[in-house]
Amino acid sequence: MIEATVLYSGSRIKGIHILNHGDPIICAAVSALSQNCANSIESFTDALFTVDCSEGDLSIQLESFDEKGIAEILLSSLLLGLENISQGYPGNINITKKKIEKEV
Amino acid sequence: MLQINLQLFAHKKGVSSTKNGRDSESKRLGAKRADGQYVLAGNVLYTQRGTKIHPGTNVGRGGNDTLFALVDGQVRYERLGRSKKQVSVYPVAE
Repeated sequence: MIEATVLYSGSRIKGIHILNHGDPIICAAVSALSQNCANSIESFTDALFTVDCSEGDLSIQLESFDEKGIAEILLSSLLLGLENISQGYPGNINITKKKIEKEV
Repeated sequence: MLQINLQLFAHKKGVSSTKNGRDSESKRLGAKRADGQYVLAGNVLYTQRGTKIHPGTNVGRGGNDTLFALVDGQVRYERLGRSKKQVSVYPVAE
């Protein structure tokens, strides 16, 4: 079971932490979505963010939001994809949402 | 920039398992004598599983469906009905 924890600053999505292992097909899909999200934030936004990618574990966390809010859209897009896979393949991805800070 | 690794969340990395990969010793089945060839009684004409080729005139069928000549003569592969084949041996006039 892959565990995805979505981090919020108030109502704004600020990061996603994905860990554990899964069925090969699910793993490939989650791997592609999450790593592409990190690459997209790097390529298309000037948001300050950290990405930690090790064996079976990936964490994307914004240090600061970009003006246009593109990074949030990309993170929301990743969440949308994870939720979609989770519905299509029940029992493979567990998504939990967590508030880490009050909205500044 | 991350190089996308599709196995980031996989149990086992880079391991592909297959349940196939086994095969039995090939038995070299098929025709042992060609059409028109002269054979002696007892010569094996065709080895097979089941009757791909049926025994025709002067041809016997062994326990493992092998076809063999019952007389000396010339081999003939013929049609049997609409979709079947048979092999026969016709003695050659001296």
